[in-house]
Amino acid sequence: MQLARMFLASVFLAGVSPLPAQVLTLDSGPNPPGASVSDADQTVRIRQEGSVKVRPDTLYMLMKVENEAARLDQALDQNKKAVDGFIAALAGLKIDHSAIRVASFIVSPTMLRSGVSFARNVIITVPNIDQKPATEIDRLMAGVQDLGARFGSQCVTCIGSG
Amino acid sequence: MHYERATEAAWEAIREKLELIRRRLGIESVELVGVRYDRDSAVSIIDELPDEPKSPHPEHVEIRVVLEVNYRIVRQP
Repeated sequence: MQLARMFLASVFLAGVSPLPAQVLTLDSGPNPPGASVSDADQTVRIRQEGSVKVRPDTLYMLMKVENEAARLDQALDQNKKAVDGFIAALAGLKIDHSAIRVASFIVSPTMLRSGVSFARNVIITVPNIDQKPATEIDRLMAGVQDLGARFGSQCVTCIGSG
Repeated sequence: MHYERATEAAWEAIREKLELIRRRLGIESVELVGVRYDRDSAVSIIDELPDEPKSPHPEHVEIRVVLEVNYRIVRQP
């Protein structure tokens, strides 16, 4: 410690900066949260979250339609019929066809490995729910869930912001 | 629109942190060399956990973005 003080004093008296200009020190205090400074790379890295709370305006319903069969082509065929039937039935709930899309698929062996399972997700997006009565949204959700159950589908309902 | 507001909030905090670091370490200027942007889907899953039912009419949902920025320290010759 004494040696360090003597060094600093001598540097001060000599009118020279104690550290070369191109070298940073990390000992000058803590960095702000999420920030780091690298001496070696001469870089500053900052990670920062930003968030806002908003009123939800979009309803998403994700329906997984899954079919099992001895062979993949059979499972595919059954799944096509089920998804097509489900989408056709959604029209009865006055859901616009453009609000429906079929996304992703999963192929997997059945539990007992005696066949194959094929599943697709039907996603229903209902915009502007903040401009509709809550009872109308509740009715729609219940209608889709009931319909999904008839087609052996599990529903995941999400409320969010588009 | 909402994501733009969340992103702007993150940038503002980054600018403040960068200014703190610059002042503390005596850095004259920096050059932005990279930005990584991630965002969460702003949804509340209502029926994910049957034991913890959520309101089908939440008051709000949170729009969240994460920015990771890299600056190169520029030294004057």
